[in-house]
Amino acid sequence: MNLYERIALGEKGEKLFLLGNEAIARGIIEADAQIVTTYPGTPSSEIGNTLAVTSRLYDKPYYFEFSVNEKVAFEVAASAAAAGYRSATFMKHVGLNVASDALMTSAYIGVTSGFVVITCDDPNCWSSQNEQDNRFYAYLANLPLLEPSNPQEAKDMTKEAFSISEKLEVPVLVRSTTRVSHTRGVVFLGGIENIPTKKFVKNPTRFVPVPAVARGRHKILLKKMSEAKELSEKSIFNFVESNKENIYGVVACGAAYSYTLEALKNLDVEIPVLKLGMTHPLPERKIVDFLKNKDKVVIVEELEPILETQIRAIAQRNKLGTEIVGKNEGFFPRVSELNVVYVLNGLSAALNLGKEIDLAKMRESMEEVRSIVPNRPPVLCPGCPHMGSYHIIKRLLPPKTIWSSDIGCYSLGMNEPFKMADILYCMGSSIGAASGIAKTGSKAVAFIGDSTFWHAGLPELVNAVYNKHDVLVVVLDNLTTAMTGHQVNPGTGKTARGETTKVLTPEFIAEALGIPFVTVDPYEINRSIKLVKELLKRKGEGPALIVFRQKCALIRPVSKIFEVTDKCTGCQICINSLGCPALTLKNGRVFILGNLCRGCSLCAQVCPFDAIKEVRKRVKG
Amino acid sequence: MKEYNVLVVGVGGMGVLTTAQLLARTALKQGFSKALIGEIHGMAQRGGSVIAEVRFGEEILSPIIPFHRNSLYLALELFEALRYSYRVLNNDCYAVLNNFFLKPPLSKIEMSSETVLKYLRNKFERMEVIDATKMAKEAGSSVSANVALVAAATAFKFLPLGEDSLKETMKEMFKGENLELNIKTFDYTISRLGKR
Repeated sequence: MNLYERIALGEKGEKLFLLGNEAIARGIIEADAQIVTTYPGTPSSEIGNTLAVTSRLYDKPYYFEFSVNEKVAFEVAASAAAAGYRSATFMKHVGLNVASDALMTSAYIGVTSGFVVITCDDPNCWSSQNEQDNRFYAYLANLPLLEPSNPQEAKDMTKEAFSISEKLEVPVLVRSTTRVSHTRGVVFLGGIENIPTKKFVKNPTRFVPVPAVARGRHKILLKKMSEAKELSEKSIFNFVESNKENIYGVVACGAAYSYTLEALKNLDVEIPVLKLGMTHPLPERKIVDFLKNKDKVVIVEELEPILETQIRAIAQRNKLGTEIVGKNEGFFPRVSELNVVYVLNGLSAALNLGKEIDLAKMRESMEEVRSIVPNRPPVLCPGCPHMGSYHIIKRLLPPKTIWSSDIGCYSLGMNEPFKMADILYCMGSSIGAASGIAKTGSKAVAFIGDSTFWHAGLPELVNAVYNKHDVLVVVLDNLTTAMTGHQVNPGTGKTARGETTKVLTPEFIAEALGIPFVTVDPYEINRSIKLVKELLKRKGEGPALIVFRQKCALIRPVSKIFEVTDKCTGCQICINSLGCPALTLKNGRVFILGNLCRGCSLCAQVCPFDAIKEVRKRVKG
Repeated sequence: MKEYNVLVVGVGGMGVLTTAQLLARTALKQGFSKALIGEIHGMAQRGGSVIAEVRFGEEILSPIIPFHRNSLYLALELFEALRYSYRVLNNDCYAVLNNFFLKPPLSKIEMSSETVLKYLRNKFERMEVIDATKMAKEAGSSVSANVALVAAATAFKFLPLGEDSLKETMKEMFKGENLELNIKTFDYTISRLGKR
């Protein structure tokens, strides 16, 4: 059996070496969820990639879809749970912003079968535009929250979240972080449950939150959350580790708990740790029990000081004099992610242990290294069609054009040699932002990928047509959701489960909206330039659309590659116009790395000396 | 040995994550009770600089290697070897470096391997520099440079992992031509270094 088969079919007690996200997928399977949805986004993507495969292997098939965005994903899963099917949806932290409108109301109207919402936060912005702390959503929506620390807990808590949701009839949030989702560790499987499904029972006075209904549902939600508090008091995920008498204590959750245990071991001190796995609502009695008789308690958590603030309030409410310290006192950083050494130093300083590790030398050496090593930011891959698209647009439009970018591989267009990203907010923002820039009198171009276009670009384009925004919309259609690992999308003609479906194109939309458009191949520079020029000539009031369509270089088969001949003068026009990683310099001439070349021919087309020639055979690297 | 911490660094596409899995899975196979890998996915993989942290032993609590507890530093590329060297705060760490540069596209910085090695020389208990990419190419294809580097680490006895169990894990992880290539590279590297 391969790994996916083991995840889908493995029996109770079996031991697998799983990525946190694969463990979450197994948790969803163990809970017997029937309707599962997502929009891919790092660090959550592997949950969907796993479930897309396992949904086809599983002997009791469940429904899985890549929805067009997180809001739709949320609604599909939430309503199925309202109708009586266990359901789950998951997304990266910023994805929950997109789904948040539905989230807020789903807390009121609730579900009749278990519904779990998994959010994967990204402390340190490893692959995100911000490092927001989504635990605030649990407070905002007033919903139960579980925070796993490692892959095993990620699986176990996901499963448990379904039964909490079912008990309370509200959605339950599970918050993972990059260091949980992308940690690989040993996971012991649990059994796969067999949960009967129900039918939707019409009840508009519950499920249709017109104001009169909503007011009542808010009260019900508060009541459910006081029941949730009792569950939190009894939860096996809230426990005290090494409860020796001590005037000091530590409270930790999530990945920060793992760092805390290791830091205490390294410090060689035995200090009791209250591990909180269910962090909303908090187990107040358990916390009070832990705080009393302690002089000082340190709170360790990733990102925002949420537990810290809550626990300080609990101490005050219960008239405890225990000193509560953490991020507010500067013992731990509030930006980026924690690690063992940062936690060790914070604990040592907070508890006056005098065992801090001196990081001055390390920081010095880091600065030194940074000053001599060239940066290696992520780049567009060899043969990436976006290189052609950017090159073509750059040749046609004035340099003072404002480039409005979007979320995807093509955000990397901000780097050399293109420098064609000037503003970016979130998924789909390119068209809206270009509209605003255009209103300030500048020429504005929006770059948007195919998956992003379907995700949130549609209403923005409609707005641009309706309000006559003078923007040029450039769809970079590489026929896949590339950045997150090549998931299907409405333009691919396939569903997550491999079924054939209608192929949707941005051209359909342009036609329906009555805006001028042209479709070109970014691998054909001269032809594209001619066609785009024609489009720009006939463009009137409002937006126009260009679709650059060419398959992502990583999934396009390679039949030919290119080599540099003696005609090369070393002018480096190819390198400086495309920045292709396959192009290097060797003895004053350009050299193509044969094992990287994808045969796109762009460099051959830009070479003014006709010095780059096609070779048929694949050269072994 | 209580714990073993391997920092693997390189460039996206060179097999950093594969190397990490090869080590961790072999460690579990050999009876180490705990193993964790800290991985980074997504944006970082588009030809960017990549780091993976492999930890195994009797008690492994968290996925990020503490700066002062490194056991082995495996670098698939020399700029990356330099970039992450600050992460090794302890001086009893071993290192195996691939004598290979992959210049970032458009970068104007030129550096010789001597410069890099001079900088790193006093950082490690022992540092070995091998031509992993070259040896992999000789054995079949440069894509197996990561396997050559692991083979070298075992040949130098820097890893408590056996050749046979590493090859067993490869049989689980790779298939067909790929597997053949990796096994060939592994054996070739061991025999080359053995004859040194």
